[in-house]
Amino acid sequence: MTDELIQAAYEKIASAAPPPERIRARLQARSRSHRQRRAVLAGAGALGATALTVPFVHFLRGGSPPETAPIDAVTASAPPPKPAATAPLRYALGWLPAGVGEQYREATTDGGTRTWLLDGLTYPTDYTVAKGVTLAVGERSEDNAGTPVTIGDVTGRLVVTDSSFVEWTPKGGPTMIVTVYGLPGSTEVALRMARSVRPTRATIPVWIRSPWIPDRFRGSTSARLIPLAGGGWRQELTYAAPRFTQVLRIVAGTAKPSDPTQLQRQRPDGTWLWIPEHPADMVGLEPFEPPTTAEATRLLDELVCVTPDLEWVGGRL
Amino acid sequence: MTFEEFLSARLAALLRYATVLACDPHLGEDIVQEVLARAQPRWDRIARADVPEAYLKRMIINELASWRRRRAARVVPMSLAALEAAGPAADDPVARLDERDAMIRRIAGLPLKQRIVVALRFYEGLSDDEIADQMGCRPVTVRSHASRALATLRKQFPAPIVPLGGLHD
Repeated sequence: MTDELIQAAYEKIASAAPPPERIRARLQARSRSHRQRRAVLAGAGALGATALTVPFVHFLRGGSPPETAPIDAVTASAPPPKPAATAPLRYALGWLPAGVGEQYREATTDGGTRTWLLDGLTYPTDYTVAKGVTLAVGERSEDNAGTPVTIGDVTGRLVVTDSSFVEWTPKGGPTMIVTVYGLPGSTEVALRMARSVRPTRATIPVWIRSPWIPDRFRGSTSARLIPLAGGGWRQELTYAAPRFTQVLRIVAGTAKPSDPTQLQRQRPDGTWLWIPEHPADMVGLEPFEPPTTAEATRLLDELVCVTPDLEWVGGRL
Repeated sequence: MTFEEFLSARLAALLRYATVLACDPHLGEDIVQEVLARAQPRWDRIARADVPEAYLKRMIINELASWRRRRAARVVPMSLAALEAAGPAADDPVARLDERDAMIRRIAGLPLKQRIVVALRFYEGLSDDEIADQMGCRPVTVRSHASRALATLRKQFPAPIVPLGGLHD
């Protein structure tokens, strides 16, 4: 009885597979995009905006910001930009392989993620994975697979698929994952990187924050900064209730959104702000309650988003 | 066989395979797209393998097993509307459909490796040794995952409904 039901369930799941035509079109588009990307020179964008600086943990915990003034004034004589918040790194690498530069930063409630890609690559925004290395602080995989390895004075796990992952939890610290994809000797690189990780008091700036969010989205927070080819950028602010039962994502960027949005607008300085449309056919552990129109409007009205400093792009440690 | 010829012949099957493993058509689509994007530049070498499809299927498993994908997968376990639109099955009794949909949710809630093992066994019809080859692990590990998964599915499945007044012939 159960076996028959399992088979019936799988037949049903398989029948929901997407049509091949769509993915073929995307593959062709992706090839075109890569050709265009190679043709574009990367460079840091012009900077210039002001904002209030508050600790990242302040708004993570739901505190009201000191002020919510618009942050989109851009002048030629403006002082260097100040971040909307700062986030502690907690841990940092002491060693990196040659030939990679930093291309991605994400600050989260529990730590953050930094990615260094092979020189010349930019961080992909199409869910593909570029060749490079990543240190994720406060991340945890969902199983205990892999081979035991010694990292400092604790035992971690090494998992090798098409990438090499080292996951460990230092005493009193958060769980961390080092990932290496597409580099020669990926496993050795991953182990050496993991063993070089040290505590740090350094912080990274966060250039986007939301002074207010509906209560149902409170839980964990992440702020992603993705430099784009040609000096553009995209920032994504994500709030997730415990167990990801409700998720709110707010995006700001230099390019007009290409995917459907629930609400979008362009600021006078040219920055696009939007809330992605929630796919109607997605279900989670609980029914999703995307922002109402009034909530989405308030979120974009009050969003604090500063043109980010991108001088770190391509850098090392 | 060229890359285009392979896509024409087997892309639909690969999408079904990835959808079943991921328990989510959207994630399955992302994974197939990524795997094919990686495979295309080295297709000449892959095509020389005896069974290029098996090679790609293993790539799909590896991709699904990567922590980036697991992170994405924890948000969306299943797309019900897509499932409802895909298969009418109007002649099935309602209770049977409810049981099947409940089973889909149970499967979607399994840990990733258990889910992969169950999918390969029940959808692909593979033996434990074949599953071990696909997953890059030992058969005993496959049996362990399968055992735990089936125990979970059977334990969580509700007892048969007995109508008021009992069962009658």
